[in-house]
This record gives sequence, C-alpha cells and structure tokens, in this order.
Amino acid sequence: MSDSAAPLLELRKISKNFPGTRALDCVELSVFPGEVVTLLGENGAGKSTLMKILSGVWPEGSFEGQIFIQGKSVRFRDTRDAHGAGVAMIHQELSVFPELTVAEHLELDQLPRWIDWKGLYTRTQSFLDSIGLELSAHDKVGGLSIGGRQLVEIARALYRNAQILVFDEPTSALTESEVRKLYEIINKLRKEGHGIIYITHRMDEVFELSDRMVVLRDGKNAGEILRCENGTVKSRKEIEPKIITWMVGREIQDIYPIKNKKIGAQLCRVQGLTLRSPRGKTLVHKLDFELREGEILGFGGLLGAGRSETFEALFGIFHPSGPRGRGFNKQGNLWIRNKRQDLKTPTDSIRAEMAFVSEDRKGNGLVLNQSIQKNLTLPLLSKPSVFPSNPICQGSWLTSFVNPVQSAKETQRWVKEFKIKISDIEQPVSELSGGNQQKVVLAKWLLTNPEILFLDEPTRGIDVGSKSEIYQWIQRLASQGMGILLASSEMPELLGLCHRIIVLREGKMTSELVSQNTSQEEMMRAAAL
Amino acid sequence: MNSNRKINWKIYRSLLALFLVMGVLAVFTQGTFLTSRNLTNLSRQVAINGILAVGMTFVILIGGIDLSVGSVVALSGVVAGFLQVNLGLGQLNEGSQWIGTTLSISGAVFTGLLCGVFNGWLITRYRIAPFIITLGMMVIARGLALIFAKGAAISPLGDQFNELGQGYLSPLLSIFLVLGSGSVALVFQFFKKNKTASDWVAVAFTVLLTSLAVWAFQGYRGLPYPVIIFAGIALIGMVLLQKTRLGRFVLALGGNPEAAWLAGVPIRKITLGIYVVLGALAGLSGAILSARLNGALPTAGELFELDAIAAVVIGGTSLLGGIGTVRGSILGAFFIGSLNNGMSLLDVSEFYQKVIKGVIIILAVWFDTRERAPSRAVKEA
Repeated sequence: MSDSAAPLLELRKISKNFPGTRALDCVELSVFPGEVVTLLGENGAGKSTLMKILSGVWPEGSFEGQIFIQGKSVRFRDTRDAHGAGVAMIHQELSVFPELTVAEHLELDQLPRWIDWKGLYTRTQSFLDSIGLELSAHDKVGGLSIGGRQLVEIARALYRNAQILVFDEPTSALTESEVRKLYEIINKLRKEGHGIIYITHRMDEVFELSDRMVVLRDGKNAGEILRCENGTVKSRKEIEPKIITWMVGREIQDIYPIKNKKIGAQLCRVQGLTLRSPRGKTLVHKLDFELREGEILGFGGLLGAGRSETFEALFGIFHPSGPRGRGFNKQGNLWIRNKRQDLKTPTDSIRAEMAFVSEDRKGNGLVLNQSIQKNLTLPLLSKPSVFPSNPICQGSWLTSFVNPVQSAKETQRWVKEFKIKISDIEQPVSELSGGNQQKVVLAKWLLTNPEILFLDEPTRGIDVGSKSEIYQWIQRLASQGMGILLASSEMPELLGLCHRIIVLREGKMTSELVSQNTSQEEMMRAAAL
Repeated sequence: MNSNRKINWKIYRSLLALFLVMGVLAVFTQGTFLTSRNLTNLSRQVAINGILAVGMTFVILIGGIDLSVGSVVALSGVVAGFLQVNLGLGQLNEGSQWIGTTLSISGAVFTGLLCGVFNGWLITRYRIAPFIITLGMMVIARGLALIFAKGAAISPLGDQFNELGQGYLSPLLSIFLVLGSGSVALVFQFFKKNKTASDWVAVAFTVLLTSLAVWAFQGYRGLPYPVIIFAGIALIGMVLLQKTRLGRFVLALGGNPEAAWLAGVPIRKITLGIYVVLGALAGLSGAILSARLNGALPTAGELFELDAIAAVVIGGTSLLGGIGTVRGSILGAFFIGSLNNGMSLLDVSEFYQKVIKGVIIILAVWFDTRERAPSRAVKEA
C-alpha cells in the first residue's frame, strides 16, 4: 500500500444517535486497496453500529456523515445498495440456508424464475476454482463445517465482485486449521487489492493480519496506528500498550461510591465448576473461587468468555427441565456457609437465599406484558413460607393464596425505595424505560432477601443516572453483609465496584486480580492475550 | 386519584357483547330465546363446552394447545358406557346403584386423566410441540373409543347415571343456590375498600346476572346438574388463576418461560399438571355427555376442541400465552352457545350456522387483537 493511492473506502464524520445516547460521534475510517484494517474497541464502542452504516443496515438519513467509495460519494438506502457498491459483510453468525447448495448461495439474489441448473453449476464451480476456494458447487451448505460456511460467505462476497470485505469476529467459531486457512485467504485478497476491515478482540489476530489498527472508544476515534512505517515494522511490544490504553482510555469516574470495607466470613465456595454445551463445547472450565460476606467479586473477560454461563450454571439455569437446559453437562461442588449444597434448579437456588439479576432484561429478567406488581413479587412467590419471611404468600402449596394487600404493599415499598417512575403498580413493565425496568429486576430479587446476589451486567444499556443509583445500591447491599458476584464487560465498572476480579477467557480463569493493585491494562491483557 | 371515576369498560366488553347477541336473538325469536325453558337448555348446552374451556384457558395461557379434548370426551364417555353396560354397573339394585354410578364417573375421569398424563408427559419430557402431540392423541383416543365401543353406541345406561346429564336441582333449591351465590358475590363487592366507579358497574352486573339466572331456573325445572358442575369448576378456575401462587406462575410461564424459570417457577410440574387437569375435565365432560344422551357414542365430541379453543380466544385470551382470564372464556362459551341455540331456534340451516359461527369467531379475535396491538397492556382484575 502506498500513500499516494486513493483510498478505496472513506467514512467521513459519521455520527449516529440512538434515543438517549450518541452511538457514534464524527467517526472517520478509511481503507486503502490491499490493506487490512483492524477495528478495535470495547463492547459498545460503536464498531457494530459503524459497520451497520457501512453495510446499509442503517440507511442514508438515519445518520450524519458521508461515505465515499473510490472517491465517489455513495448513499445506501438498504443493504442491496451496499452490495451493489461493492461492500460485503462476512457475519459473525453466518446467514445461510442449510438446504441450498453452494452454487445456489452464490447466485441467491439473482436466481431467475427458471433456473438453468447445468449452467449454474458450471459457472459457479469454475468461479470457485478460479479464486482457489476448496468448495464444491454441488454441496449443500447445511452439510459444511462452520469454517466451510464462512468460505461460502466469502465466495458469495467475491462472486458479487465486492471490493471491501468486512469480517466481524470471523474466527470465534473456527478450529485452528480453519483459522490458518482463513488467514491465507485474507492475505490473498489483500494481494489482489481488496480492502479489508477486520473486527476482533484477539490481540494475536491483530498482529497476525493487520496493516493498520483503528481504535474506537465511546463512539469516537480513539487512535490509529500503522503496523509498518517508513520501511520498519513496529514490534508488538511497541504497539500493544498504546492500543490497550486507547481502548480503555477513560478514567474511572467518581460515579463509583466508596467500596464496602466490612468483609466477613466465607459465604460460599465453588470448586471445579465445569459446564459443557450440548455440542460438547466447554463453556466453563474447572472454576474455583470463594466469596465472603460483604465482598463484591467481579467477573471480567471478553464477550463469550463464559461470564454469564458461569453464573447461570451456578444458579441452576441449565437444569434439563428448564427452557434451554437440554443436553448441558454441569459439574462442580458448591458450599454455602461450609455446607455442601446441591442446587439443581433456580427454585433450589432461590430457597438457598440466592438471587440472580440477569443480563437480558427482556429475555429472562422480566415478563414484559405483565404488571410491575406481578413481576416484582414473582421470585418471592417461589419461596414457600416455611421461611417466615414470606409476607405475600403464606403456605407452601401451589394453590396457596397470594395476599393481595401485602403484595401491593411490598410492591409500593420497593417502587418507592428504588424511585421507580411508574403511574400505577398495575402498569405493564414494557411501558417503563430501560433504567426503570432494570430497577424492577433488581427490586424483585432483593424482595427475596438473598445472601448471595448474582449481578450479570447490571447496568447494560441504561442511562448514567440509573447507573449510579444502582452502584450505590450495590455497595449498600455489600455493607449489609450480602455477598455479590458481579459480571461486567465494562472494565471500569469492575474496577470501580469490586474487591477482587476474576478474569475469564474461553471459560477458564486466566487471573485473579485484587482491584486495588491492578489496572485496566492488566485486565485487558488477561482477557485477550 | 381521578382514575377512580373513570369506568373501565374494557373488562365488561365481552359481557356487553354477550348481552347484545342475546338481545338480538331475543328480538328475532320474538322472546322465545329468553324464556326460562330456553335459557335452561342453553345453560345445559353450554356446560360441557364451558368445562372444557376453563381447562383450555390454562393450557392456552401457558402457550400450549390441546386438540385432543373432543376425542377424549368420546373415549371417556365410551369407558363410562362400557362400565355401565358391559360390566353391568348400571343394572345394580337400588341400594348399591350409587356405587356403580360413582365408579363409572370415576372411570371416565380417570381415562381422561390418563390421556392428559400422556399429552403432558410427552410435551414436557421430549419438548415436542403440543400441537403435534395432542393431534396424535386426538386420533389415538378416537380410535380407542371406536375399538372399545366396537363402532356402535353403547346404551342404555343406568337411570341414576343419566341423572348426571339430565337431572335438575329442584326450582326452589335452585333459587336458593343462585340467590345465595349472588349475595356472596355482592357481599364481597361491598366490602372492597376504596370502591371505584368500575366496582359499582360490577355490582350492577352481578345483580343483573343473578336476576337472569333466577328467571331462568325458577320457571322451568330448576338448575341442571351439568350447570352446577360447570359453575363449580369455573369458580375454582377463576380463584386459582386470580388469587393463588399457581395463577401468578401460570401467567408468568406463558408470558416469558425463561423469566419464569429463572424466578423459580417449576415449569415442568405446572405444564404437566395443566394438561392432566384438562384431560380429567374432558373425562368428566365425557361422562356428562353420555349421561345426557343416555348412551356412549364413539363419534361424540367431534370438534369440541375447536369450540373450547374458540370460547377461550373470544374471551380475550392470547394464543401466545400469558394474557387472559377464566371469566372471559366462560363468557366466550356462553357467546358460542347462544349463537348455536339462537340460530337453531331461528331455523337457520346447520350449513349456514357453521359459516356464521366461523365469521363471528374471526371478527371477535380480529377486534380483540386490534384493540390490544398498540400497548399490549394487560389490565385484568
């Protein structure tokens, strides 16, 4: 790549607003022919939004700024326009039709009403051979490996004569040899003068492939560095600290209250926690840790490192009678206050004084179409009143009556306590804002009066005000002696709230850090290297 | 709060629609529709569909469906008939006749219950779509009914057994029962604190319905037994759904199974239980139907599942689960029953009846979804 060449792609001053947040703020990105640009940034830094704009998912008019391809300004009304201009996305989750053949995939958007099958297969096969992909046009895509399907996506992009290819974490599901093959193909594309944008979290990949690294943070350009300048290749040691600083850059703001200082006796201990998916993939691998009263233990790591899975496995969500528990294999031991516990289902866990604020409010946190009252009281209802602490339902039968007066009273109390903005406790939770919904989730679990609280991304997608209120609550609960397990993809949040942090990568613990003596850089290294 | 002054007509919409239909039919039949005799018959006709609709409400609330109820009605009716005729339980002497009757009814209920266990077990254990499992059960139960009955009707049944479908509580006792339950309802409504305008509407409707029932059951032969059974089951269903832990769990499970599971709702147990209960209710309906006909027909109960589903859906329960009431389904059952009854009185040909019924079901659901679409708000008592 030479400096004199005109850029293949230029994104100029791209800004995009979502209700309440500015996802992108004057972001610039250019790609030259024959260049691999890696796009880096934490979750929520704006990478995906930027790529959605580039691929036409967010059409012209929904954002500010301009896109130039080979010097010409282009406007995309939809993804088809982007295809037409030579931009192709190779998705993380591959969108393929298992029953169609490779050939049909290649010509999918131009199949005529009557298909000349012979022509189709000879045409596509000779194309596949010419670009050197080891694929048979006759194969059904459903029968291919994940790596194979990815090749189909790449072939499809090239068949459409795409000049700019965007790879969104393409190696996350590939085997070692498939990854090698992918690198070869990318190198070949580079030689042929394609422009490539490569999104990844893995530092190894960054240094294996990229000519230039662009870092986004909080929707802005945070920094940019060339691998090779004035004929010398910069070493990894030289570049890496810069990238990491750019990625995590922001200072820990004082929205974090003072940490609880009263750490008490051991509350629970976990030994050898292992979780395997139905397909035999190890999601969590031999995890050991302990939690003390009043302690906040953080779980860090990149997307897919196994944070949520660790929590969900401990809480019993993967039990076969649950909605998505079939075929999971969970092992490991748990002691609560030095008593061995075998908690199979969430019901067991709730009765053992645990509570789980889940990552996905809409997915498994709330019953959206139901009232605040019904949502708030649900977990408490699964605690039979052998515990004298159940004010809203005496009796342990399924047919035991719910006390409507107490139920409304408890709801009112927590709505007030959390300053949840509602018009009526019978209002459906779907009408609340994200922050208020999250408070409902937190409140419904605190209503069960737990000793151990799991918080999985407790502040995802909510406004700063609600965030800081929730932080206050977390410290207050810890000071009352509750043990808290907190998973977050935001490193400042972990550092600002937790006493200790366990960093996970691919389901394994890579390090256990004491947050007083660590830094975001150290965490990033443990998570990504 | 000024919302107290506003009347929430939404709750009474189905009731008003029902009154409207009844009024129209009364006009067209020149009053025949509203005679004591016809209303008594109507309520007896509604009873079986109503019993099924109460159970079906719970199944649909958890996001399921049961297509097998019609066939299960036939199969359990045949089992009752088999016990009555082939085992001679209907021919016992005066003193021990009640044993035969009880055994026959229990046999029918147990048969239905077993079918429910089969449905629920396969659905929860192997995660096969309820639609498929119960479709299979529908065909299996029909086949078994034909096998046991050797393809023909089993009759006549014992006189005491037939009382279950044909008998009446005497008019005097009926009036006591109706007035009694009406007063209990009123007492509850009066003792409610902070009464809103809507609550007064509820009082008015209670008075109106009680008077209608008194009118119907004093002037002919009294309360038919099936109606009493239906009323009991409906009451239990309403209380379970609105007042108990189970009710909250069912609504949560239907609204979002993942969230319900995370909150400790025993999903499998509840799902299984609900299919079993609907099976048992279908068994009971089978016994009542064969008693009413004085004979068990292996071809009975055809399309009962669709009538029950229609009643539930007309009553405002969402087929997606999580939203709905038992009360709505009861009204839905009366709605369909009134249409059937009224059109027969008017001598509308059965062919046209089907078309009209279908159109009305579609209209009712269309109206309901359109109403609900903007906010998907659930405002149920």
